[in-house]
Amino acid sequence: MLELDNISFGWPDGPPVLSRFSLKITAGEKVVLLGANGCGKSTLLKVMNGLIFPGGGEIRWRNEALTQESLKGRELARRFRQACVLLFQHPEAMLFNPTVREEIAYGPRRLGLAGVDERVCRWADELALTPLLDKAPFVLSGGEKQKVALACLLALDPELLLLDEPAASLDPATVGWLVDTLVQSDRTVVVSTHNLSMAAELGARCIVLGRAGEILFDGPARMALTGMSLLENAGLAHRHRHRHGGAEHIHVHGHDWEP
Amino acid sequence: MHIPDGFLSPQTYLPAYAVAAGAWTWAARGLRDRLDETTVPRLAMLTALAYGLGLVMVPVPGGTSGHMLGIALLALTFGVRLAFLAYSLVLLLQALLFGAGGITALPINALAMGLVGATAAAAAKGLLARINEMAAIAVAAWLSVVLPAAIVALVLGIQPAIAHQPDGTPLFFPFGIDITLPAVLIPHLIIGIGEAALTVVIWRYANSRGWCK
Amino acid sequence: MSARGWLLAYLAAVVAATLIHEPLVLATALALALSAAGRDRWRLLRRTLVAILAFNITVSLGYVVVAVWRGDFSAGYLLLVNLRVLLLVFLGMWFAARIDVVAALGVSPTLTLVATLTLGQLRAFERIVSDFTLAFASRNPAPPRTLDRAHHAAAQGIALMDKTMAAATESAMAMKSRGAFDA
Repeated sequence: MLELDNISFGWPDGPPVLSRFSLKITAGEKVVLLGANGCGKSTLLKVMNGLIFPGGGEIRWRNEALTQESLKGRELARRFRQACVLLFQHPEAMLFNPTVREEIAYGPRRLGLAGVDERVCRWADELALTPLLDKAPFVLSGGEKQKVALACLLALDPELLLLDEPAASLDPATVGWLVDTLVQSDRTVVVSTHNLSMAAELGARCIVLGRAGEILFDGPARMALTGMSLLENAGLAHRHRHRHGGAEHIHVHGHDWEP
Repeated sequence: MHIPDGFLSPQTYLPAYAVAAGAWTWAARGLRDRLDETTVPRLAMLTALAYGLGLVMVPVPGGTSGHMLGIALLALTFGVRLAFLAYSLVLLLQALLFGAGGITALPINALAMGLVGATAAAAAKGLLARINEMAAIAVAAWLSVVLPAAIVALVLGIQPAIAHQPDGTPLFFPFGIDITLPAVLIPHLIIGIGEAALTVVIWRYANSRGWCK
Repeated sequence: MSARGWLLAYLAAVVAATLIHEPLVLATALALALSAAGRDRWRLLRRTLVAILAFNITVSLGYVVVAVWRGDFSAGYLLLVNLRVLLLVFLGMWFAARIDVVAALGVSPTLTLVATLTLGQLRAFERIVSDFTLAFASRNPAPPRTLDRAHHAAAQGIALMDKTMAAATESAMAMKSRGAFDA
């Protein structure tokens, strides 16, 4: 479905974030991108969503080349932007319409999809946003904004959902709802997180990124999450002193600090 | 209105710096009377805001877009003095830190946009608000774009007259007022409309949150 | 030389460049600046050209048209003004790249403090606007309408205002908590 072939990316005047990076996502997969803050997960997702373009290598979407030039073509842009969507780490950056209703309706309307009102109602209902439909997005709380952003994306009926740290501002109940929805759907999902327990519940496939954006591991989630030295290497687990019972000792473990 | 260095003569920018220095002293002194622990952080954040607003692209009638100016918004929300100082600081940081240039244009830009723009906006709102508040904000923002544009056009346009070779060849900006005034002013009459619309929307939000003076 | 010394030298160079009207002298000064700039010179020169290209081409072409029509065209002027702008903007870029501006502004401790606080917040605002821009591209399968671009601009302004007010309060509290306002 989506293929990254030997891509390299660095911000202007900055060090490379991704170097000769290759990745293949097949339809229906549930993939978790695990990595510490700053390792390039957000950048990778933006590359995958055709928002920033690598300096080297190729990206292919259903065997079509995805470049800055090719995405200027109306037809490909329409197909791609409906099929592949990204939930930003700071979802308030995604919202700009006067009301929540118009916000959720925006994407489907721009694409000329049928049943816009039904879509709005359905996803507002699923995400418990119905009481907020006539409010302005900018007066909502962080968690509500994230739910609105999610509704906007799901209303398009996308095939590939990219999510950048979705657990960041959501309350535990909504995280649970999100995980269930993603696991049960037949959409392809790529989630970036540094939250190990979410990774465990979500992903069949786990890609662990090192601090320089390189792939340290790509395989079954269970193996990744029990490989302590791997996790320590990636900055997702650490050693520190702590107490069990009366004794104090040091070993490697991961923490799932609730954000 | 980023005029690169090299188009303004020393006969222009040196006196302009003197005038600007006086204006900055006036503004800073006015603040000091009400100085409290929040003033310094507020000024810093407002400077960042002035910079940030300048990154926002405003659609302009006609299909293009331009950068937002934001001086009216700053002046109407936080007052002329803070707006002027914040805007001047942005110009200073841009000139010295980002190498965006403009150290010679700085006093002109600071006085035209930061002071005249802010004052015109505040005055317009003061005069017109009792008739219709939103229209007053819109006029204030429009003036805050158009008046500085006129000043910059004038300053550029007098360069050939005040700095030239004995045979009349210009040394800095080559066009006179007959060209600069229409060339600079007319587009800004339209750009001001975009700024006005945007300022009204954002000001209403700021007002609803109780942030406005 | 201290940062402040470099600032004064830069300012003196700027004034000097606007007092000299000989293209040869300006060209020599530019060559000297380029050579003194070291390894960074080509990157700085490229950035300089990018910064001045649009404005200078517009003014130069405009001058050619108007002056030829009026019959007082001077190639010497074109050379002079473009060299002057190139030199001045290059000097500015070089200064910005080399010198700790905050240290150079150390004349006033208040100014230094404001500059430091501002710079921290500035980067955050750049990220916000960048996120908004990318998110807008992500959500628009076709070129957006003017009304949508207007809504988008307003949303950015509101987000920036929100963050400014929150940051001003936070920053003041943090400074207070660290004793910055204690006598």
